[in-house]
Amino acid sequence: MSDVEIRGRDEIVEYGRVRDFMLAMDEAFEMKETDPVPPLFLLTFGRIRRPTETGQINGGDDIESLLPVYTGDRITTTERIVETIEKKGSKGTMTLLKGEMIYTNQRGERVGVNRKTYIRLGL
Amino acid sequence: MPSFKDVAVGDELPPLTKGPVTRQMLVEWCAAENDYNTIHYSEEDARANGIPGAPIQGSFRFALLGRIVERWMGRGATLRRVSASYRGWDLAGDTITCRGTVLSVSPADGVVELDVWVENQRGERSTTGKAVTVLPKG
Repeated sequence: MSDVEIRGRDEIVEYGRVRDFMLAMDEAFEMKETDPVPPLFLLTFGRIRRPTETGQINGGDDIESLLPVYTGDRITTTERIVETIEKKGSKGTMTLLKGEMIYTNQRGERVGVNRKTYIRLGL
Repeated sequence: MPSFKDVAVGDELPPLTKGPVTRQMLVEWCAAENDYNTIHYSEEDARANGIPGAPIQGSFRFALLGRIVERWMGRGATLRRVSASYRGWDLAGDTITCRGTVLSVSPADGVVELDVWVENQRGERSTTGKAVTVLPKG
């Protein structure tokens, strides 16, 4: 399967959204506006707000933080599928999709990468 | 906050438990990650997709694995990488506990690698992963 590169929309890092991220985990929110955001906050970027595709689930995430991200930064996400693996089992065919999502800031610097795994079940 | 001199292979991180995870928490997480997949708050949609109940998002468990490491490492340290594989369902109503152990310590650069995972009240390890952090040499 050839690489398909998808560029998500640019998003601004908002202090209130970091707060919501922490509070949704029932975790204390103690970040100052000048602090870097938690590295895993990157997972909130490049999402599909109303996913409609059925039969595909999230099999894994792997976020590597390369540079700190701050409130007010503009994050651009670009995702491509780098590998497709078909597996046949007793319950049918399962497809593993290995994706790579790159997070870049307004200066064009790569601030993180998420090596994701999607599982597409045979329907 | 440990410096790398305080850390040894095999050290266990203080566990982090959440739950019972309510449907409301799953909805809040949908909002937090800007992904409103209906299976996380509609039993009907969950079952139509072959899931026995509203599942706890893999990303929620993933974020909590980041939190167990951040709580342990404290300010002044750097969380460099967290990986997770979602191997089983945790459902609304479950109680999940994040755990971790130190796998390796590199005195040269303060890099600590950890084994991290999530288990539910049934003792099932639904999520497995690794984390890498850089501790101050202090």
